[in-house]
Amino acid sequence: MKTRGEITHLIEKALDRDEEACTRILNLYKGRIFSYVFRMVRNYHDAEDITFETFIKCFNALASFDTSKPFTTWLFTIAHNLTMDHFRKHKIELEYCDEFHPSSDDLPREYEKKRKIEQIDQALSQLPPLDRELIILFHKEENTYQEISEIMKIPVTTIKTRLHRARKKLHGLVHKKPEKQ
Amino acid sequence: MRHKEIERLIQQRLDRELNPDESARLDKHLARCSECAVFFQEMSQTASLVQQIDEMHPQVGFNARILARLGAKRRFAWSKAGIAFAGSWVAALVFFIYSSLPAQILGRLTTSFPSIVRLSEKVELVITSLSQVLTPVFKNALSSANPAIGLVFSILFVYFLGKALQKEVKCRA
Repeated sequence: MKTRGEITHLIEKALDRDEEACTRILNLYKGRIFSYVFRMVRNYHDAEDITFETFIKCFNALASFDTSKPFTTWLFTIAHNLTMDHFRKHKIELEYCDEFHPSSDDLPREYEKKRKIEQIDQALSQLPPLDRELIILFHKEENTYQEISEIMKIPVTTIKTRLHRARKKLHGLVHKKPEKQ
Repeated sequence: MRHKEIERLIQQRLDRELNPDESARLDKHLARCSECAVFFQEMSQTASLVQQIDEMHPQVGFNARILARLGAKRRFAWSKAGIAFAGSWVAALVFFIYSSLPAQILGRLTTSFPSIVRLSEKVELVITSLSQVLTPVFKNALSSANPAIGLVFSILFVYFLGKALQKEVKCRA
């Protein structure tokens, strides 16, 4: 994890299109952004395209980035906006479950923990995209409510309510229990 | 306490927002209600497993495509190269000064050019005066530490040269 000062220094160099600084920024964040986008769109090539556009937008708009704010929140906001554009373009409903039904045949079953993680990943894919996004941003990326609010442009109170509901849905999917209303 | 209230407390604990009083109330209830305890354990495990889902990466060549689109350029690491260059010069100078070469050159010059002899005598006089007045102790210490100084400069030279090369290799990767 880089300190804010180190990130600011990298950004200053990347503004000048310094290859080494750009590469370091890419290496620091591309995995996190790609994982987040992939878990949202569930298609490798679409995820790669969106991640690509995220970084191009990020580098082109670096001059407008406020260095007093967290860089990751800003980067995730760009990725979120592009992902939402993708959903709109493909007319994917954000509030309801998509039709993705993952096969479990190809999953490694060697370890119980690995199996459980895969099970969670599959259950996540069955959540509506917005619920999925909240779970990933809060539990996987460890963003605060305030940061998620900035990324998704939703009030903190709404995020809390939705996250509680999403977490219960996920629990129901993992433990094969219908969600109680 | 009703289960609905407990569920709210469980959610708040997972939100990392439970205060000590509420936390104590929750723990007290979980200790005697197996149904809520199982629910809490499953919810906690689910949240913790989300954190452990694998990070994924785009295909090899992703960075290269971005850098090409941006028109990013490699900048020569002047600071590192400058340090390596200065280090090598200092190391070379130290070896030169403490070798027999300067004495041999001076010997030849004194026989060939009398004017240089006079100049060298003046320079020698200035250096001797300075060393006698300013640093007699330092001079002694320096002469006994000659091999160590040479070694330190050599190590520094190799270190900075290695760093510069490492940087070069990373940039090309």
